[in-house]
Amino acid sequence: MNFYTDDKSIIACSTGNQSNTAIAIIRLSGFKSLLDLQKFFSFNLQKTENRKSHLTNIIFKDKVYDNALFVYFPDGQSYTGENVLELSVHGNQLNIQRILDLFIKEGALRSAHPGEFTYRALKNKKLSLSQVEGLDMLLNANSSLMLSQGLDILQGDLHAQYLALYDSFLKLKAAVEISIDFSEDVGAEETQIFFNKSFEKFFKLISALKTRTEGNVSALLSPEIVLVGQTNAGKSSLFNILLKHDRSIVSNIAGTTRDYISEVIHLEGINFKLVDTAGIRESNDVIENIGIDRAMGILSRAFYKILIVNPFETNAEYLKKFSDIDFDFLIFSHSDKKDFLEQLSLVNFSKIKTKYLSKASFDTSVCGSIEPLNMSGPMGPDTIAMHPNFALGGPIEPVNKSGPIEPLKNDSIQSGPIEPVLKYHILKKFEVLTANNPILLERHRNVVNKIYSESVSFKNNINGLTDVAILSSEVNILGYSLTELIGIVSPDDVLNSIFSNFCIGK
Amino acid sequence: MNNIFDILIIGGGHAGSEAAWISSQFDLRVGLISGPGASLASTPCNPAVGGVGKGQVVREIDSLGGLMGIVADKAGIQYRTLNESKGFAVQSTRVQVDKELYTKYAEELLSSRENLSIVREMVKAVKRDREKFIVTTESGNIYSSAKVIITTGTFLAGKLHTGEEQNAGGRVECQESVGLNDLLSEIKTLPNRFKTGTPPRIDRKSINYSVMEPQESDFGTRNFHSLSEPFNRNSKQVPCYLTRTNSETLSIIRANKERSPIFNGQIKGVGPRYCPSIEDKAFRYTEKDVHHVFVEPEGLNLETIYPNGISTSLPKDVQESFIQTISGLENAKILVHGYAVEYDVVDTSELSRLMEYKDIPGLFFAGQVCGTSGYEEAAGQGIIAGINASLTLLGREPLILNRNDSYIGVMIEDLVSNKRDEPYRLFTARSENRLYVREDNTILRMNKYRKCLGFLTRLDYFQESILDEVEILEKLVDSTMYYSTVANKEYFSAKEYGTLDNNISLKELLRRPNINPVIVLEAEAGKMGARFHSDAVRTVAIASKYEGYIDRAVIESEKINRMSKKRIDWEVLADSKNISFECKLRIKQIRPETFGQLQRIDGIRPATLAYVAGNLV
Repeated sequence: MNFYTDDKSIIACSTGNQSNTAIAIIRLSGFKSLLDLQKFFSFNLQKTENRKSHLTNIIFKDKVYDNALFVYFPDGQSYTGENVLELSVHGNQLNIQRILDLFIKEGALRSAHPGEFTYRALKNKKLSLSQVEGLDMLLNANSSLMLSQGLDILQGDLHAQYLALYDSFLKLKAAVEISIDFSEDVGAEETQIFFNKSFEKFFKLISALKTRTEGNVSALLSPEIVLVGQTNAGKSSLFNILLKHDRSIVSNIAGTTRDYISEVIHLEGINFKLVDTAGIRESNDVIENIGIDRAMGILSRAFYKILIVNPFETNAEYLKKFSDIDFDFLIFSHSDKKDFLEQLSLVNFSKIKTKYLSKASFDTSVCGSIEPLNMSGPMGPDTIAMHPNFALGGPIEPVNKSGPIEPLKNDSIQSGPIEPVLKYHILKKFEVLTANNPILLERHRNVVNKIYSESVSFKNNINGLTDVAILSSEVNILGYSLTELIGIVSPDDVLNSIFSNFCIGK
Repeated sequence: MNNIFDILIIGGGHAGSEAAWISSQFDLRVGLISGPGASLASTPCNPAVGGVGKGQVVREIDSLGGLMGIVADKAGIQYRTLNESKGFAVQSTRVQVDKELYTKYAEELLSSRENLSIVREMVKAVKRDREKFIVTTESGNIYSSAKVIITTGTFLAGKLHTGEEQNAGGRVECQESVGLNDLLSEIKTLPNRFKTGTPPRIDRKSINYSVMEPQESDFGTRNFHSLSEPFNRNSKQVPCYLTRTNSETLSIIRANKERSPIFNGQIKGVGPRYCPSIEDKAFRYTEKDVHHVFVEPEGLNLETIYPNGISTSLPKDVQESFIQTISGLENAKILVHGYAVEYDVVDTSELSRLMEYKDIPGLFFAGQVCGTSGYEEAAGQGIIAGINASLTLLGREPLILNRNDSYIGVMIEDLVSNKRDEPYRLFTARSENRLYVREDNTILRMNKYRKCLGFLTRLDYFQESILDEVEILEKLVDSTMYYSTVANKEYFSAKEYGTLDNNISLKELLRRPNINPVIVLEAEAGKMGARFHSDAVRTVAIASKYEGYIDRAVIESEKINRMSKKRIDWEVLADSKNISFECKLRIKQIRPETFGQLQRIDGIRPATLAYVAGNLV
């Protein structure tokens, strides 16, 4: 973005400009003095109280344009850091345009570029770059997770943590500067304690932030539930069952290709993309191999992976393809058919890894039915013991996972309709993954990780260091990466930190 | 006396003296006007020269051919190397001076210049008259000069405060001068006046030194002036002493809050946070009662002692009672009471990096009138103003110091690119390049600037010879190898250089922790039969030790270079209000098209780069 602008006063309508509404808000920023705008208002602007609402007519040369409320935010107390005026006018699009034109033509204002109010807030240090990113996320969020994180970066906990990180770094740097510039004012011991405390706090904060960057968050930004399985396994049936009650009003999600069908479902405030990889079949011809590759691509970024296997029509080669995938749920369909268990015992799914499994039937009713299907042994690529000893009742424990995985509990899957069971598990997984409040912005994740690893090497480098000159150099290096997260660490900030924490001046 | 000058300096403090001294080295008619009662280059506050960061400034001034280092060496009565245990790169020199001798030697040197006239009068007005300035004094004399340098310190509309007493004055027993706007109406001053203060002076005979910690002079500290014998002392050396305030001291001060001009609203000026009065300390740091008080002699033959750390403008009776609570000062007799002074300050964002007032060519400012504090800061500006007044008069290229290689450059850039909201003092923290801008390599850093003056004196030959030796030594430390032989291993262990498992160069040896690179280089170079000046050895030894860190810092700070290919719109930058005036001027001159070009423009501030970089992301 090359976004250099002049210092002119700007104006724009800050509420929607698509249709007529009851109220619209027009924002003006950057004018020198409120009194310069007197010619547009019937209200005597000298009587304006800051940040209070006043009723006025918008006028020009005896003509009344609208009846409006206005609030004045003087520079320093405004969003952009400049003088800001907000007019609440009637939200007819023609009315809005007429008022904008009036101010532009007669008031030496110009129309603001998209995002320019925020740009000015950034320029005037009312917002940091991180906060602008948070705002962007908030305004453009398509999931409640992004919505809440947007707000979090803008003014919430994450923003507070960034500020605390900056503050502890300033203190760290201040301690080094004190020891160089003010060694006669502040004792070495006091400085050392200050330094250690600041670094401890800094390290604690950056470590806490780092845990919030762990895990694959791209899957959380726009979570996808992916159904795979051979033709006639029952993917479409399951797809429709899941879609039935919760089809989202949001329908267009970019990236959809004709290879698969997708719809958005809305579960407890969270939008999930439900994907049916309908086009993907057996792998014994070239075209279908491409289909498999594509399915693999979809699976790799999926949030929730469901494999459906019809024991009556199973290709062993097909199942082998999925040996590297960690499925969340494995469903054996057609459980209502005769000889189901017998047929199941013939399927070699020893290479399949899954967290839960069950048997299900999609035909009996519109919502299908699900029943627990528990096996006696662990499931994983090296396991062959499961064939053919199935038993209803024993828990299953998948292996070959890095972390502990919940075993299938007797009470977690009960016989009944499919939909609530699956939705329960999907939401539960989402809850677990978002429990540590992950940082979603890629840039922040990278920078946080970089600062963390530099903090670790800083910790190792300063052990037993007596040369303060070198120490100061190490602190500066740490500071460069910090700059990327929270803005420039200026000498004035450091000096302010020194003077506010220590009595300087011998 | 001739009343026509090429350069006329108004004010005879450290800034004025340096300006006069360096201007008189050029073949010009120079005048220095100073108030009749005020001594030249006086040290009215702390009788010391140098300090952390400031020691570097004194050596920079010295390398340019200035006065301060020469005079401080002659008048020095206690030397210290500050931060001695904290690494070579952050060490600085400070010298306590005999204030009587300091003025005496400064006056002697200035008087020795035949083309410099010293005028003892109060200036009433400065007027522009086409290409000249007309200066009128209270005694009715009129002087004209092509260039004028104003170095009036705290004298402009100066006002002294001691408790309820308020007097007009530039400092104790010195008449104030008229306000800056009366002197020259077009000048923009800062809306807020600045304030500074000084402690009471105590009769030396009334002090009990036996309960204080003495601080002896350090004979290993190098003199400031590069042509002085490095470690010879001209004056007798005496100790300073350290004592401390206590809860009784502070409770007396706290009980008199409403009698303190700083806290009862009598003083409106802004004082420096880094040099607080004892009242500031008492009220801002309420949990702290113990503050250092350094007991410093003002001169070998002077009766007064300067108690450093208790600057105050409290009423006289309060000063007397709190002083006597301090250990060793129980019977202290105050000879001169402490006071605060408020004064006019010029808006330095109206100055160019030549120290010239941009709207009035030919008029320069330097020193405390520019809102700085400290003799060294004043002198540093004075010498630059003097040099540039001379060079521009002669039609030559002016001299601009870079912030990357000098503290004077840092200071001037900080001054001219901002309106200051408190008195400005140099800290090493203000430099982005601290590991490089050291005392030991001053000649290496400053010689290119000295050359711009076009003088050929002993100083120039000396600097050339040091640079030659530095070059040879740099090659030597790179090319000298220690092979991992039995003999060398024994030698290393005998010398306590550490192990020698692999072949290493002398430079690698110098970088080892736990060895003193200066001593080792001296010994190793000596072993080869080569004799080098101790300054050259020190420069190369310390540079070798920190080379890796300096390089790393440069690499890190230059990561921004990746952006250098991004295109920028210089016309928009030149209009932006977030960029300092100086930067915009340079941008308009150079018209950079990429971020890289912008970066390479001399004098573009880091803040500007960061701002532009932020916009490019």
